[in-house]
Amino acid sequence: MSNKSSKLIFSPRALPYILDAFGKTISENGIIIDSETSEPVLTPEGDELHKDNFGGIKKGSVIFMKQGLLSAIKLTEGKYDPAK
Amino acid sequence: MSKSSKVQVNVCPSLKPIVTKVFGRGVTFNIDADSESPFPYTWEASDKILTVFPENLNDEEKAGLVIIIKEYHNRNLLLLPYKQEQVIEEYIEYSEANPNKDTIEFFTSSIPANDLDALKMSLFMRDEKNKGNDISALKKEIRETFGPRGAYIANLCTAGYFERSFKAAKNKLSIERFKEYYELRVGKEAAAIFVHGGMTILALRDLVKEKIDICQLNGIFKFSIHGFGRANVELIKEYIENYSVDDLDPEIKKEIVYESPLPNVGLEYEITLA
Repeated sequence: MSNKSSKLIFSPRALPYILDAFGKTISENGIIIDSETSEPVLTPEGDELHKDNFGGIKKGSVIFMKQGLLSAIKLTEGKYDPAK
Repeated sequence: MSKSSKVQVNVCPSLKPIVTKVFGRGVTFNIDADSESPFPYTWEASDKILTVFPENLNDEEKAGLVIIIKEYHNRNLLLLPYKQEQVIEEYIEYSEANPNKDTIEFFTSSIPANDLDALKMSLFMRDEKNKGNDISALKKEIRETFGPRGAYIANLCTAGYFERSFKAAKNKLSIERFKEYYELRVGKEAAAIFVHGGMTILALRDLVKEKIDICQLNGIFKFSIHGFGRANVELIKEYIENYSVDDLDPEIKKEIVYESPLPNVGLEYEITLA
């Protein structure tokens, strides 16, 4: 437990605060979009993200992840890390 | 001058106590807009959890919170919704125990990348199932991400095909021959039939006939029929007892290779073609 790493976690209704920090917002139909251009935010896999399917933002770069096991696997395997 | 770890984030004075704590080593920064609290924030020193309740902040403080979040990300830290944090924690714990590492390594580079991802998810799902945990969300995610092929891989994985059959085949066959072997059994679903809820006896009869055709056409000598749960097991038994004599050539052999009692009722019939 003493080695636990720092992290930011948030409840569902706190999502707008998180998105605001990255210039993103939630569209009327629940899709995460860019606040200025209204372009949908895409995951590394190229998918649009619904607010209920948002899996977090990767450290080190602004990578928006999808909720679920596959993102967890890719994150822990370093698949979302920048190409070395 | 050496780099200072001193935190300099330009926010209103009332947020300074938050800033001094939140960037500390091992601190969990929890933003909770869903719970009721009389406080703008709380600090649990023993667990190093700083919880901010944004609904209790004024507009200036809310703007400051957004600045802190941005700075948090700039410091190379992870931002996760509660639900995903739990998934990641569970997966890290599973990875550290490493129960299926050998299987994953064995099939890396020899099956398609998407199948390998589906297999990784399926192995985790099987582990959760064995622990008695609810796997319906995982099943749904595999199907939604990889379609029927992923769902089939999950079934094959749960029934042990990757370790039991595919490993031996890969050891025995050339790379090209294994590709064909694998594609026939996974892509064309020639390895097995998985009876699922809602399947009728007629659908099962058609599926068995279809499977026999695929096998005969491709020189495959056997496949299995699997069922988990009482209704599915009964459907297989009904088919074998009442229809298989009419439907299958006399030289086609059928035998039970696995049967488990309540509460986890399961049945596997192996169908061997002449």
